[in-house]
Amino acid sequence: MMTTLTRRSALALFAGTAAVGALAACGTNGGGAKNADGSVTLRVAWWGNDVRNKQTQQVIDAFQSAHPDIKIQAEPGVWSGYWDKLATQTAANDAPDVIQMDLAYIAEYGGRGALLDLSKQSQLNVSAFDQNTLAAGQYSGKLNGISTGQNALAVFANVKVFEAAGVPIPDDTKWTWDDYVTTAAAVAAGASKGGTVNYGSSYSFNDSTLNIWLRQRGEHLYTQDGQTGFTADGVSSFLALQKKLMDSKAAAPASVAQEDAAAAVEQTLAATNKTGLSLWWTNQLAPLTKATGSEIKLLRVPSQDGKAKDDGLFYKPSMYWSASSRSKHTAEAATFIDYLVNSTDAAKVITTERGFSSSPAIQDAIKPLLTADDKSALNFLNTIKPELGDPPAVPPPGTSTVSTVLARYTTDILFGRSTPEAAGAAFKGEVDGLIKNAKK
Amino acid sequence: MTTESAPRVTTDAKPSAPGSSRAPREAGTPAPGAGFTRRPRLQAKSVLKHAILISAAIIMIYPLLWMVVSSFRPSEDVFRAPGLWLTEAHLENYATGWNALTSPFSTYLLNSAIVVLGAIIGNLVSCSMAAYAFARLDFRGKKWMFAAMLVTIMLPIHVVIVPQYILFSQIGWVNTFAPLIVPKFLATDAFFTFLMVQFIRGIPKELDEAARIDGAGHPRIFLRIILPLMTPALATTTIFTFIWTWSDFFSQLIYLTSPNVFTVPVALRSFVDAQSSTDWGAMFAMSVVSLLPVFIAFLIGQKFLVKGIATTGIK
Amino acid sequence: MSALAELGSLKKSGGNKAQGKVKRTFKDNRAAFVFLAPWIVGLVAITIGPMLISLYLSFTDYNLIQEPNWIGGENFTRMMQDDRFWNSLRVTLTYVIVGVPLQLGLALAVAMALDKGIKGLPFYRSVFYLPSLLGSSVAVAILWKQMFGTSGLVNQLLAMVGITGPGWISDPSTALGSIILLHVWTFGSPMIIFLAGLRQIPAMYYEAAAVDGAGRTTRFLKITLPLLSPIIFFNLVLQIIGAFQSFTQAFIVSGGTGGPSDSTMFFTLYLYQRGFGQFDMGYASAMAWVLLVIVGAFTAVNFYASKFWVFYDD
Repeated sequence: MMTTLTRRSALALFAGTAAVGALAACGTNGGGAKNADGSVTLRVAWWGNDVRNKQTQQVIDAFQSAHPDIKIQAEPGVWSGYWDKLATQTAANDAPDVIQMDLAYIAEYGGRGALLDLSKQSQLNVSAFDQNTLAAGQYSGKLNGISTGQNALAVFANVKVFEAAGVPIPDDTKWTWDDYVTTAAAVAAGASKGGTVNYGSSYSFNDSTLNIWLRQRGEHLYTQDGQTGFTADGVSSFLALQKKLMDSKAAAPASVAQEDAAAAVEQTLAATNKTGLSLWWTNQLAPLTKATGSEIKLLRVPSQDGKAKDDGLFYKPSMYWSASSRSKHTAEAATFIDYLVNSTDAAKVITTERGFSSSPAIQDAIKPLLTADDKSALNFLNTIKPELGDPPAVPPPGTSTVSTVLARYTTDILFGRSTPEAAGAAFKGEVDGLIKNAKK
Repeated sequence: MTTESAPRVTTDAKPSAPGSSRAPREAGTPAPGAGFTRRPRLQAKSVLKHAILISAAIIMIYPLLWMVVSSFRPSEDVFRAPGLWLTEAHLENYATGWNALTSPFSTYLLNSAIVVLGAIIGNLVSCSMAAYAFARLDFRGKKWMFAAMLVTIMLPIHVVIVPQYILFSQIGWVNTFAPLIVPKFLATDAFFTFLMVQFIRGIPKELDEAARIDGAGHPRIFLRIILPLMTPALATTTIFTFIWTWSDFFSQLIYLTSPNVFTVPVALRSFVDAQSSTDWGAMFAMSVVSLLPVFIAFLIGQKFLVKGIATTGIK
Repeated sequence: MSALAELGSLKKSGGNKAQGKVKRTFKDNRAAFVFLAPWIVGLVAITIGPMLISLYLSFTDYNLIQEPNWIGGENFTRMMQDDRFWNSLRVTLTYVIVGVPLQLGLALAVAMALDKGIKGLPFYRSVFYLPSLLGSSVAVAILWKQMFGTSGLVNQLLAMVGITGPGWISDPSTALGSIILLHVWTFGSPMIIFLAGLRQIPAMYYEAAAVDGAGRTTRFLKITLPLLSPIIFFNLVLQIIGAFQSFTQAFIVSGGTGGPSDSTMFFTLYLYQRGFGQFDMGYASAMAWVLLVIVGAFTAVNFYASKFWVFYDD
């Protein structure tokens, strides 16, 4: 094949390889060293809606007036496009200096050396954060990001729907999954009258719900050394629960469930008062209260044995601040991250938009600014704190799409295209394959 | 929009029709097909035809009407209120939507307008030139090059965007409109080149021959004969480039990073973050606003669509 | 502007075309070079490089973050054993084979109906084109759910006649069909091209045929079809290429997942998920080149077949 390489194609190939070389070249471009006036420009990227964008811009402005030598170029985005863009920029050695990160991606980037080890940055003081908070940002011995705050998964009980159904809100300190199914079925039966349809419970296609289920069984989604830590059986039993919800009319039929899974928050069954029970992160309380127009009670996730201590809950870092390992302004990037996570001035603007900070100083500073929804979420987080087990392992590289994999198998179950047993085994095989595939 | 501006070609250009008999065209002859006599039966048929077309039209635009109606509803009601009934029009979605993002929405409209204008000019100039060569010129490697041109559009953008991004970031073009406009001046949109090739090949060659006998060279034939006669193809190119560039999301997302250079599609998506709540009313309102320029462009552009050979007075 | 100046200087060489007939082959090499100059610059500077890089990457384990390592044909052998790859190919082929003829047929039919000097032509043309204006806007996904959701407009209408419709978008057995429908719904683009093509047919052909007493069908078969054939051919080729790369509609309707149960997992959507979702750009590049070969084969067949039915006035 190579023997008939013409001069022209050789030339083109050369141009090609030259550019490939650029893929791997280190620090050859992206924001020169310093601006003409001696200041440094930091590129800062995050995802969010207009509310978060405005708050973040306000914090940036405040930071810039305190640090005239650092100019910040804001690069806001939204979740769906954010990761495509970051991947492209990282490939081109053109990643932003400061990057808002997510649990699903922190090892994808950090595990491949794209993120700066923040523990080595003297400008960033992490003394305000406890061991578990820091562990959430650690992967392969590096601090890849600092958690901006935490959430927990909770069962949202829609008080209006429960009242309409004439069902009492269950005692979440001792309820089991069977209780959950029975309650949801009772809500569905009781609240569906006149023209209103109520399905009882929403499904959770979320991989964190699966992780909680596995933790209740003594398994884990991932182990600390970056492998799967569950059995096919563990997943099968989780999928069987979803099927049981549908079969006992405690949740919507398959088509509706599928639509619900793809819907934006405001369009979900839970947000439109079509279910009484649903699983959400605590920081989604405000949008759901607004959408439903109802009071929402936060309940612990049910357990297998009726003991709240065994419900497998954990704090999830809502997001992180990370820095690019190829940034030419690591000191300035660390300074800015320090401001974001430690400054009470910044915290007073952001409040809980990026989760509840675990820094005591920040918690005190924002206390007077909390909304009713914030308070009830914070109250829930504090209530479950003594019951929490070890924090889960950071998802290893290759697993950022696992929630869509789980959703696909759940859909197969609900539409009767597969059995929980077969799907459980297939799921484990696929996740193992993803992790293996990501290794070099 | 008068037809007088269209060039007239001397009558010794004689296209040979598939049917051999030829009727001289009289001034004022109506558009093809319209000249046949109307009878009552035909009138009934025409009513039926309109009835079908109108009901089809309603089905076609129902979703759009729903969007327009939704833009006048309070955000909370968008997914609750069914149908198209609007009890009261809320204009505040437009006000909040306009100012919801980092810059007022006019910034994004203006940015998109710049990108669109650049892309249109680029496509019109470069694709028509390439098309003329492929359709009318006789040169070495023509088939091979034409095939190469088609092959370039067969690779999905997602695998070439990374190398292309690297290229443009090396030149320092990231976060400018250049990566979105410059390629259009280099005839990278093979769709339009191919489209124009097909149209040019439909123009009777006798017209070129006649001009050539009059001493015209290729540039002159291209500018004076071919271009005016392919107005519908140019109009199609303009309209499609406008609409596709106006709504193209992926490359604009990748290349534009600062909010002050965001274009309309990137800005519109900024309303919908999967991880947080969305102001749907504002999103719909701005979607309607962003559709208006495209629709107006289409209304203007479509007048040129009909200026083909059939209406320019050439036989 | 400088290109135009160059064009002017070409006039001389183009002038003596009468003798050109003697030396039949490649008489316009120089002129062609000038007319093609922008395209050639674009090809060399920004098109070929990235294409060749993606070809190279298809033989590597490139993950966008670390340096690519050469792994030979491994991506291609993995592809052969990947059920989801075959599924995405099947979904895409169904879409191409069903969607393209439906859309083109409808576009041609409506274009013909609209071309016959109908009253209110600009109105209809705009209305039928409107859905295509929406393009890939976020609003489309929501609109489509309003129409085809379990409690959407279509099912509400069906309920009036006592039929309980499925969740058109959410049921794996109907989801692909609803995406095809969405594709057909945006038939505006080929329709516009057909309309423009119809306008290109000289009126005198029809007048001559009318004098000869040719009927409607004869006029359609003997005049419209042959003279429109280059445009039909164009639409066919480009719509097939486009349909194979179809991405946006499935992406926005399924929220990027290709669901339910991979039933709308188009080839490029899977490719995108592998490349950007799973950081497996090597595999994605390999998929892209497989697609190129498939689309190339379809296009080549198309061009070959065109010799038998496409009429050029050359």
